[in-house]
Amino acid sequence: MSAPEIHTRPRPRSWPQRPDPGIAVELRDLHLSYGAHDILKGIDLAVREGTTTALVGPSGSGKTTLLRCVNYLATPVAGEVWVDGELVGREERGGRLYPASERVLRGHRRRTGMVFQRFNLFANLSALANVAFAPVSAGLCSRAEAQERASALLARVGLSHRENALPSQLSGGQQQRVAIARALAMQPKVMLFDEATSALDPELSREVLAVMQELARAGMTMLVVTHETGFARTVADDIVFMEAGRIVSQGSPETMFSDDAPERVQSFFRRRPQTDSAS
Amino acid sequence: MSTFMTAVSDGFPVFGQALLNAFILLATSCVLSTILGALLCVVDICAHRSVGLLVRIYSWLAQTTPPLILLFLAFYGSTMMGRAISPMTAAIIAFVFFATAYYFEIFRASYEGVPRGQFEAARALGIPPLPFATGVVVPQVIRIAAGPFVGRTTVLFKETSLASAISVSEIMSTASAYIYSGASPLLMVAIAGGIYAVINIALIALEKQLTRKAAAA
Amino acid sequence: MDFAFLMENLPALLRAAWTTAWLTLATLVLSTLIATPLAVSGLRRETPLSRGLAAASTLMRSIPTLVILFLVYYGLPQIGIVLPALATALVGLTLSAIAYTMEILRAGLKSVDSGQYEAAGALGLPAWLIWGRVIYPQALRVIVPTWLSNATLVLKGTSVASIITIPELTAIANEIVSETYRPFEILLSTAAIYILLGSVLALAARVSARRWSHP
Repeated sequence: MSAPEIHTRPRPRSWPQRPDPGIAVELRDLHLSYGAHDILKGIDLAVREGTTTALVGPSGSGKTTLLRCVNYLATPVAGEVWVDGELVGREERGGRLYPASERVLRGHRRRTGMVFQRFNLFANLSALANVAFAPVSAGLCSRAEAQERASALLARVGLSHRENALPSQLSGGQQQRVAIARALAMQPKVMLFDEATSALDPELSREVLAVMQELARAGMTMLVVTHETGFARTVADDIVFMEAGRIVSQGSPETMFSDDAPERVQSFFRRRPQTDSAS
Repeated sequence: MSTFMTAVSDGFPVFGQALLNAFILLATSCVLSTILGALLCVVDICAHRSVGLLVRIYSWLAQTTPPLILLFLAFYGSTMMGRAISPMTAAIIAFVFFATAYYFEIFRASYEGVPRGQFEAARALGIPPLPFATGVVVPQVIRIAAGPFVGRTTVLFKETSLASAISVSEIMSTASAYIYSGASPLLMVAIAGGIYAVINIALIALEKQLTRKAAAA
Repeated sequence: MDFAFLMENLPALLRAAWTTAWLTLATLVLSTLIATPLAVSGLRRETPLSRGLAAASTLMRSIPTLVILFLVYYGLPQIGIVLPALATALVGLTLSAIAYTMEILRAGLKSVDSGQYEAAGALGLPAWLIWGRVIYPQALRVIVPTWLSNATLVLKGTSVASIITIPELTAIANEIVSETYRPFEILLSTAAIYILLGSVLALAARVSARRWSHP
């Protein structure tokens, strides 16, 4: 894992500049297209360490794609992604930047944890093994150590009593909480949530939202694609409103939910009845 | 009924040998084809598309040509190569040729049956391909494939009866030998059928159970 | 490859291929006609008849086609039925195909939403009309592609009839081989003919899969 050592060697003028300290995620002029479809049309965004940013907007606006660019599950055609002071998806060889090899990319991805809409737990592994699997297979720690940590993480999401259950034996809410613990096991600097509750009914959503809220309080940097207006309002530090591949508006919940917010944002939130957040 | 019983007890040692031969043919070709089918599956998943196309063409040819034709080809091939190969070896070669395609198709379809979201989760977690394959994908492929695998193996077991056509002394050729030497044809065929039925009914029950287990997960 | 030799024997092979095609088609038609009413049994709830049929289906699927052919070949004359050779083969092949066809039809029928039965039943339609006009047409989407891929197996299976000396493709090929002792030319062209016939079925399966998957 070789992060470009930007400040120590002379660089061409166009050499990317490391974000300011205190910025956990920075996206610069990000573009992505599938064939003739432009999904992201120049995204600039900075997320401060320890804050939660909610990405909202109509479906098809590019929120999920944006999130997937942060860990390069989707590959942008242009622009830069910085996570924890490291340029994601590129590697430096001989003073030049190249697309990162899969190996290097794996290192980059370990700095972010991702939680999916459909949980995506490993179906053949118990809850505990799901959480312990990645650290062991990446060679980060011993099996015993990983299991001990996994056990603690499952306790943190309130699932100590379900350590040995298979994903098929867990409710959707429990599965999603295991998925959060699994992502945390890699000790990521940033957590990405991709509509983590939209496959769950309100009851189960609440238990997942509670875990997310606890994470935010504990100082995790989070980037959350969500339809939960209540969560965005009460937990997020920033709300980013996207439409048609662009960030249309951005601000604190107070401004975004106020009458001063752009009309487009107001009408969007009006059409969504406010859901209760976990508290 | 009593003549039936004597025929069964008299015929037992000979049918025992026949059953053993059928089992050797089945087990050898099953093991070899499983290994080759799994290898082809890995090649098809990992290699370039054009290689995958070749694998599919082979699979289609091997599955569409009747086993009898393949048996004859292996048989005449073995005699023509100068060094005569035993009919059993020729039969194993023919069986491996088509059974590899059977198992390849099962493994390939089972791989497709592993929910894709897990692949994405593994990528997002930065899990290297090998531990992911051995720790997550293969166990699930095995679980999904188990039922169809046993099902295909019953078909393969039935197809060992065709090896009688190239004079492998398995169950059907033993029955035929008895018939030529004057035993009641119907009785002999019924005994042969009974042997297949007993073993395959057990296998079909196992297939059902494994399929149900895979569906429950 | 000796083309002159091949051309000399090709007409005989093609005539035999015609028998194979005919035998395949007749087996498919007969087994489907018989399996269609049988597949319905026990779908809604288990009955003694359906349990018996399920057991019979398992039994028939556990026995090699060759054994079934021999049983028919030796058995029918014993109960006083003497059939021409080709008809004997047809009976045997049909018997071995029925169970598989039945399973395919059942899988298709099971895919139809059970609410459809209740709706049709509530209208007071007679059973044959419910199955024939309501349930089966909806199940075709699932049935047709698997039925056609099973047809390839039936095609392959007809070659087994060569062992009871039915003059179909495999038997004729064997005959030519034993006369000329040039096995590779003959057997490889025979395989090619089977693959050609199988390709027709596979093509039909592919077209139908596309057509039937969008009702």
